[in-house]
Amino acid sequence: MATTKKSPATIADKPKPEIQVQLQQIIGKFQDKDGRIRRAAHPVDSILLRGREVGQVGHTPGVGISLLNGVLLSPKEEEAIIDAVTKARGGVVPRFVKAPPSLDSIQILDDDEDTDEDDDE
Amino acid sequence: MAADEGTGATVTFGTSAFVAQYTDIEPDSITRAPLETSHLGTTVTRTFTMEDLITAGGFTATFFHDGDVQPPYNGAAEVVTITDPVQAGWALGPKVAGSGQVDDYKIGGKRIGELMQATMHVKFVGTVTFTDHTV
Repeated sequence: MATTKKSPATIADKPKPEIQVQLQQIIGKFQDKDGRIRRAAHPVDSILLRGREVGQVGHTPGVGISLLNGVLLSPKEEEAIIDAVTKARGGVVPRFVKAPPSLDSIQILDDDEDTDEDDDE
Repeated sequence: MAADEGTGATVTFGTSAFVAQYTDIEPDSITRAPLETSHLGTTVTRTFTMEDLITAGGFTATFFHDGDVQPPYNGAAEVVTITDPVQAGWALGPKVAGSGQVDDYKIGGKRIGELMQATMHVKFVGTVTFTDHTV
């Protein structure tokens, strides 16, 4: 009896995990004139990518996203951040994502992008 | 928290989103003025009480001049945040944040053999807060 053989699942077949982006409002502490510690919230959110802060964005819909120094994002990560901020700001797309220009020009590749390396023969 | 150097620190503007290649961020002191309470009956030492309100100061930043980009030198107040380097294992970096406005901007000077560097001073015009790092 012929049986249908299923090819083993490969890494390429497995669904890639969604890029996790969170926004967290910046809440700081200050001392009042009596020395008591009080808290105050600012109209700015920290942007966390996979649980680590990578930038900040103001609460006004459409304002640009500022990345922290040393942060390098792949195109997919940048897209995930823009999508998360757009969703949080009622569908208004942020004007830009800005990072301090780097003197090095390197391109961050997404995991599924091909490199230019030759295959070993 | 372990001591750390300044590489990786960032200044962000919450509305204008101005970014630059900073080489130096020098905060001003947060001060409060002493009010003298000495009177003719005071002995040994002058006495003082501190003013209720503090002066939050601001900071002076030096950055590489970019002729295509200017800081918000005439902009409205916005939240300005100085974030310390986010160390390995942290989720959020420590921050100082407050409503601020640029009150001084010096365009980069041009000299032989020197990179053009601009400076600006941001004045905190409201309460300044401190945010701890989180893991």
